[in-house]
Amino acid sequence: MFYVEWLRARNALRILAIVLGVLFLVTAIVRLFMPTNLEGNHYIHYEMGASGTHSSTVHLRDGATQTTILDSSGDRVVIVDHGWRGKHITVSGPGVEVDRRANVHIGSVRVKTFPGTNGGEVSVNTDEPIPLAALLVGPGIVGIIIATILGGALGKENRNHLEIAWTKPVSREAMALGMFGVDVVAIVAAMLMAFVMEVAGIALFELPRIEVDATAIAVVLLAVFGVLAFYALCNAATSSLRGGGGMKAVVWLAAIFVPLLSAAALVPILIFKIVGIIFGALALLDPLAYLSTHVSDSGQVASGAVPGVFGYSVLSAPIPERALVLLVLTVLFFALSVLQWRRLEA
Amino acid sequence: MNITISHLTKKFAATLAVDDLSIEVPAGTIFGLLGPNGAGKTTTFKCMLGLARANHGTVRFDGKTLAPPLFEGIVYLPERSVLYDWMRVGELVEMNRRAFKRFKAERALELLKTFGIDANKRCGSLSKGMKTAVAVAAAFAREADLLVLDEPTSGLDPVNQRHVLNLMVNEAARGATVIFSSHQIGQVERAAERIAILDRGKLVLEGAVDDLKADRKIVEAIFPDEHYSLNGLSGDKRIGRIDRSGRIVRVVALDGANDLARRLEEAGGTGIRVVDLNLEDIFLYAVAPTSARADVVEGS
Repeated sequence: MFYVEWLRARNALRILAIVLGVLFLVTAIVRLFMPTNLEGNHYIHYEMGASGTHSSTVHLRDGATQTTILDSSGDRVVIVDHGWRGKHITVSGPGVEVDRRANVHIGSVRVKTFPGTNGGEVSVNTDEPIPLAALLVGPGIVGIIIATILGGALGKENRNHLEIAWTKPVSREAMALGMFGVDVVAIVAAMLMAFVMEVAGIALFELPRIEVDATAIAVVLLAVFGVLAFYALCNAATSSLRGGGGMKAVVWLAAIFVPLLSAAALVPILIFKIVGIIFGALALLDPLAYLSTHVSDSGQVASGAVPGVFGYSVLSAPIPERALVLLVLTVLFFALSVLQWRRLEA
Repeated sequence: MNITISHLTKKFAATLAVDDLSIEVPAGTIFGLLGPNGAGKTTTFKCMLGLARANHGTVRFDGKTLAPPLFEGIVYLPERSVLYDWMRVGELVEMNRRAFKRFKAERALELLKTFGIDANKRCGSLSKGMKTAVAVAAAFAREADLLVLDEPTSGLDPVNQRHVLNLMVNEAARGATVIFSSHQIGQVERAAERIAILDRGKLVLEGAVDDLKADRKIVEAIFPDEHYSLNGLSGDKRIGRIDRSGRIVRVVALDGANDLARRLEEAGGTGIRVVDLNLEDIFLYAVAPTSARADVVEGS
């Protein structure tokens, strides 16, 4: 009954698989042919290659290789190389300038700085667990792209195909919901494909370790419901139009700019406050607004999946609550889509 | 499937597209819906099938109102192509197979072969006629109880047009009801058992084709000069229309043509002729009398 939508979804997933496959292939080629002098150890050797520098290498009992490099000024670099399982690099000495802003955690790389009385210490670990939320950014973006492609499913039927869609032995409501169901499965599948490919890409370089904590389920639900709510919004905006491609572009722009404009409320001028309040209210209906990424002081990506609103979150509610609101929005937008569609005439 | 349309009315803003239309289509018949462009044929079809909302009136299928499960046995072939351009013809067949329990994929593929269409082609790459043929193949493989066909031969070559007419006849022979519209009146005359003629949304004529043709005649008479009297004929209810052209008078007789011929003779007319009407004449007299008069003048 929903074969048409299944074909559309299949075509979209097929293209996605090709794109992800090409990206993975490029990553694999880069990994295979990456010159060894671009790897950490050799880079550090190169940097400290001045006169008076000497290094020593020992093999540790756990199989790791420890390289220690000393220069004439007393700066020391210790590299413990676990190969695929990552590296620990510590740079210390009087010549090491410590800047606390350098404390970051990106993916599996964490940089920590320790100021001392004479210089300081910087440690770089490349085997840190990757927060699940950070790993969901890529799949979230892929999900939103696929949601945009498949979104407006009803609008596509409105473009000369209602005579086919509405003369099947199924009600219009069931027809619409069935189409949504197919697309929802396809979007989740696309996010899963992107996630698997992302982890596989990381695995080409090092052992991927994913930080799964108590919020993991909520974070996954936030990402999935956020994307699905965006898909439902695309449908609600286009279900009474013929096609609706242009409207989807408007939805994109609105989804990005409405939360940004709500920040006008922070400006202490009345007109800005009013504008900010209006857009702040509109932002409550914007799925992307709920997906802002929050980076804590420690550098941890604390929540969210898609940094689509540049760090400004319309809701400061906890992740599970945000996921729930997104689920409600999804249902609301689906209902609006069906209500509009069933009232049309072919 | 017996179709009863009662007082169907559909307005688009100020335009009355279908005006209080009532038609009964008996089960197993081929019913032709005729009318000039904008007469309301397509709107009637759409209102029948719930694709457009009627402002007033009802449509019943074997006494039942339309509900989604009924579409298992109802085929609608729209006038314009509604195929998905990106879809392959074979996928369209598969779509129908999945949607309709009674759909026979082998039959559809066989019909496509007859029309010379490659199932691997994308619908968007087909010509208008080929798109019609694809839709026809899918429609006639449904084993439906009711086929609503809006211009089913549009864009087809004469060979395939004849093939579609034969398919319609076969469907009716199987017991299905076929309602179709066409601008090619010859086709309607060939295939339809009953017709209805619409003009500006109104039903202007309805009946069995044979009856309409048997009843309706043109009676022609020539008078000695232009100052003649019809001897009270103009009030006769058996007369559909009287056209005068100089000394010539033509009377469209709805019934009793021979009696009317006699009365014209009594009124002084000479060269009396009773001419049979074909369906095209009937149609033109019903919806465009001016064109009909010109046509008859040339034909007589």
